[in-house]
Amino acid sequence: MISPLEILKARILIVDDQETNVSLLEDMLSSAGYVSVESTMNPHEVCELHRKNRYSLILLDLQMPGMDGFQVLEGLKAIEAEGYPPVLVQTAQPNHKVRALKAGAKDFISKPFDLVEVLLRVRNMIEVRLLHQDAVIRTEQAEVRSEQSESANLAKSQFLANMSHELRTPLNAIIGFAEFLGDGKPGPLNPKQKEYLGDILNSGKHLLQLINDVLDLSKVEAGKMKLNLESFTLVQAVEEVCAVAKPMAQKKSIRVTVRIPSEINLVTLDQQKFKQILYNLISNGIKFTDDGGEVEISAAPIERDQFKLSVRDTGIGIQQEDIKRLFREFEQLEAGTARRYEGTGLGLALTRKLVELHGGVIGVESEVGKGSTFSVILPFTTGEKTT
Amino acid sequence: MKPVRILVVDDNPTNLKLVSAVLEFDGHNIFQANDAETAQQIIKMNRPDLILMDIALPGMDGLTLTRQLKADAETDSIVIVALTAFAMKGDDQKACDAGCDGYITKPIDTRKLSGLVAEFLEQNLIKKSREDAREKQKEGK
Repeated sequence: MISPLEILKARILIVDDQETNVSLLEDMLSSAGYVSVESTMNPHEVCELHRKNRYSLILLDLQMPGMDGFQVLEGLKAIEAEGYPPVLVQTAQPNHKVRALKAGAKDFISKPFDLVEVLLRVRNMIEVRLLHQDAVIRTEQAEVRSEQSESANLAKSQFLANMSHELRTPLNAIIGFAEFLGDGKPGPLNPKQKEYLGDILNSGKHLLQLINDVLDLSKVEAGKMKLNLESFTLVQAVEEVCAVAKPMAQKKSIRVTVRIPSEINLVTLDQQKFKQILYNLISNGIKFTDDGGEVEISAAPIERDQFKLSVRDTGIGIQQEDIKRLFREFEQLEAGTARRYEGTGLGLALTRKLVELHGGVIGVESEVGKGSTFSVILPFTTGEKTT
Repeated sequence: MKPVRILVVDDNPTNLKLVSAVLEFDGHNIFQANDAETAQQIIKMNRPDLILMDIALPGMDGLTLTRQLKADAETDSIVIVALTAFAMKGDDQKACDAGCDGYITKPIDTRKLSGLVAEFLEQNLIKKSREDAREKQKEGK
């Protein structure tokens, strides 16, 4: 907002060839409290003065010898090419009012002057001019900020690309040699050696997963994650993901079942990301379910264009107050259990982002000790979209 | 599979050692280079059947070397597989554009590497025999 004091301090230029008019206006303005009023009787110097002083208001007489007000107006418009020429014309001829407004003047005052009208119009115009300047400055600042944030984003993704390379290079050797040695290829191992090499291998793979998740999350956040849409059979994709998760489930004697009705057939989504979503939910279900439990994947259509995919487990369940923290980064629940369950704490945050990228939603229902059901609602056909 | 001559190009000595050890274990003849210039010399003296090419190298990078080899009639039939930690999207396309016949990302799977190498060699054989057949057809006409 513009304060009354700012308005009174605004620079004003009076342009008139009649000395009596100049002093009359000067008196009116100074009586109202304006402190920065200048005047000229030479129309030829108006543009030069404005270029130098950038008045907040120019009170311009239209009829002057040598150069009339309309010519001065053209000159001022050229100076204020993208701005707001703060010109208030003074005229005795009614037909000049519209002509001046059409020529770019912002308002007029009629001669003979009416004190109240003059002061109101002067104040209004200065206010608009100052607000306009304010808006210009704010827009410029916003542009600068958005450029800065764009280049920061670019720097961030470049940094991530480099980081990814730098982190994978040593991991390549750690994982590779651990696997090669653990397979006994360079020579036979005793059981302890084999076990410890297995530990190195698992830790290396865990670290790699963490790097991948961080990269994926940052890509979503930087708006660099794009969807590669394709049509595929839902059941087949689910079965493929289950096959990958099977060894993990077998180790804990967990039964994994799939129930997908035949009415859900083709879907158009990013298949790889859909599988990532599903794998995260299934592997979570297995991870947080004790030996001998059960994980069930089911699907059902909702309305005409959406379906709901649920992953139900008979695991430890989630406290009601913890549910809202669940989908945030690095929030593996139950810090008290000393992280009994290995994980990056990024899986669900990433899963949520991938679901939202498809225009879907994710939610969970849970009862402590009984199990949890994670559900995602996805469109059968996702539109082309990047975030 | 039948042992083949493989040149491994990687500037990281540990990774060079790992890839070589894995392939050597599977019976292949391995040559090593830690930069593109050394690789060029080895290719001249011991023409390999396949090159596992790291992309980020000091001096000339792996894609530039690949383009050179594929532009030269003496070396254009060598199968080149990019082996890289550049796992960002679009990198596979860059390798393909440079003329690589395949693409493997690090970390490598030591249990699958030999199988992948065999696959790339076989694909190349099929491609070549098809091209030969086409050539013959043309000559016949």
